[in-house]
Amino acid sequence: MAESLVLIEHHRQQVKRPSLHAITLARQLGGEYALLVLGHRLDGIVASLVSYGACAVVVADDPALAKPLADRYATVIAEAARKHDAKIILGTSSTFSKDVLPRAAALLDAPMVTDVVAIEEMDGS
Amino acid sequence: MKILVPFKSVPDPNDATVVGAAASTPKSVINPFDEIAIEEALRIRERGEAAEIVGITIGAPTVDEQIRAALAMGIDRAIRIDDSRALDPYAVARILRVLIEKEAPHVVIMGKQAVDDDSNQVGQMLAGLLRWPQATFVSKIEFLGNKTRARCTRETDAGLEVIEIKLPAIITTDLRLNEPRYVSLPGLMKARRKSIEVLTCDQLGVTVRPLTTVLSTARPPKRAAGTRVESVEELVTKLRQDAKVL
Repeated sequence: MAESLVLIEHHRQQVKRPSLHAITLARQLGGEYALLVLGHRLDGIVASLVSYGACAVVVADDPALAKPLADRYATVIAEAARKHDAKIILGTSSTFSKDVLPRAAALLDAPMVTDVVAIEEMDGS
Repeated sequence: MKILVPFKSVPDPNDATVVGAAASTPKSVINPFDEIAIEEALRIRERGEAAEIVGITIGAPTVDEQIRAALAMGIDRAIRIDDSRALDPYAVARILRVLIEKEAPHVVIMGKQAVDDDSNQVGQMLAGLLRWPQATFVSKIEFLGNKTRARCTRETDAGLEVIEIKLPAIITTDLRLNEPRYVSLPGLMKARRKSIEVLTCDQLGVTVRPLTTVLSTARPPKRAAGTRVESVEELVTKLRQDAKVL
């Protein structure tokens, strides 16, 4: 079970740099974090993600996920968050994350904060 | 086709003195992205693809001024949900969802974000709650298949993306979709005769409490003036001693 779930953004078999910032944040928040990657033919990406200290790399690899369609991605993200009992889902301030994460938030009955530059304190609740 | 346009009353972004939500009594306007949504709905109707345009907003009676402006632009009628609380995007989405189920539009077109909080969440959350398709940051909309589908061009980090979605759906607008018209005098006159229905959350049967709270709003710190240096050595010294980045 991971406290944070980081949605990894990738393009052409490469993890996008802003996702690395999200991973760093997950690390700073303390607790365990899992990386979530969606798409198709992800072996290369997954291999590059194992060295980031996550307790799990959750992979959703399917032809139906080849393009980032929000309804499909949000459903998978919500399911992964529930399965891993994640307290926080982290993404980046990209059009990809902004398209998909609010929809996932609604599916999870959870609030969302966009464009965060600092997290000052966090208690258990 | 019936188009629903949710819009928000926001402090005028061109007014530099505004800091913080409802600080004093700043001048309010229709959120610019929502204005673009209203404009798009009007153009869709003008080309004969829509019959009715309904505007929705949530707020105190003071937002009636923005409702009149939307009616003056040309929407047919408006609904105001009377609620003066500070609501977060999820609360807004939950309220709008109930109204949308009631009004049963073919498409909802709204701004991608409000310029006071820049959340960029409500449209997507609404789509999730309704389990409807969504097209966000849209710069072009075409209706196909006798208005059963929409082909939308989206502005993404990677460039323009074209998707096709089934209707009913949620579409959020980006800047390049259109340039909104100015309100005309005949428009203003006609607006006086159009209806504004006022409803409460109780009447809608929806109870929301915000899950996020704004603690404070502040200007970003003023950028200090730069200093000129005479040599590379001076620059390195300053970077070490003053900026402490080396």
